Amino acid sequence: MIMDIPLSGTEAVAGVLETAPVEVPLLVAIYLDGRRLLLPQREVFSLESVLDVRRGGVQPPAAGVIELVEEEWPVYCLSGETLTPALDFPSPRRICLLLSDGYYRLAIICDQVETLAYSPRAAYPLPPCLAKPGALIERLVVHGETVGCMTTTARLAAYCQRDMDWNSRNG
Amino acid sequence: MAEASAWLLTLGPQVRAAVGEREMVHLVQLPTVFDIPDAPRYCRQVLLWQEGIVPILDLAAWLSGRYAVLAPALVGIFAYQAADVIAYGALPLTGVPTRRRVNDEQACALPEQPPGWACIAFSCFKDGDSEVPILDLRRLFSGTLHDIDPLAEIS
Repeated sequence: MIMDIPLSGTEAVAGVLETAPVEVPLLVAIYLDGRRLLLPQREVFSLESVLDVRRGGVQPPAAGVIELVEEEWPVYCLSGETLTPALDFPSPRRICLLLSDGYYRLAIICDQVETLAYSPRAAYPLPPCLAKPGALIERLVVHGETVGCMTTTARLAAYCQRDMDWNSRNG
Repeated sequence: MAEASAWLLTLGPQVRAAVGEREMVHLVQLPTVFDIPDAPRYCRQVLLWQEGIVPILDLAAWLSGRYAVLAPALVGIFAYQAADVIAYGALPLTGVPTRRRVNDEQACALPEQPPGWACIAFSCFKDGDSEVPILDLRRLFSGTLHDIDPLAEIS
């Protein structure tokens, strides 16, 4: 419920102008332990089965490797509310989403992947007070009455490789 | 003697602050909030307001080094000047704000604890027996808090 407060001098309130909306690409939604992240469709390379992931002989925080078109893709499993890189795959996760932006490539184990059939209304840069250096989220996407969190392959790659202790030091 | 109106905010147990009369623009009870992964521990959610996104910054959590309350019952939405636009941010409140007339004779030093007050307040005034810092909203929502330990002594 929103209550208007009878304040004088708030004529400047004509809309939220903190950050200008930017163009929104077509998106896919991925689900990770109840969290939902949005990614540009153009960065989706392929969908594979987790059964094709090789688990041994990999360098953590990667949880495995998958081979496709004669190349190896590091596989990451982001787990829990904080999306911490994990070495074990939770049983509901059956989809291995391969992502590439032409520079970075990696694979994410997902509970579910969904192609969004709609165009979100607007996307906004992360507000400065939310934007830690190298933050996982690049933009916030407004659709209807909800806000979605959009990331990219590059941000996921940096996030997955981030020092595992970073979160505990910096929150 | 200069006198001005302010809103007195209760941000948590023993945590009070004030903003200028024109800086608070809305109160929202039981807001619908959206979690943002990988965000600072004191600022992990946003809400939709007037078709825009407003960050929710738990100032009491920042001052004490705790995690933000994830289901605030009441938030205030505040306007401030950022560069050449009016920007908005939200603060969880534990009570309905009250209005005060403040004059120069009430001016006092900022509370010494926690030291973080010195980074986010313009000045301070006495309200009864307690000190009430006046918030610098632009600084609060600018992202500079990432690099400040609110519990560390300011040199």
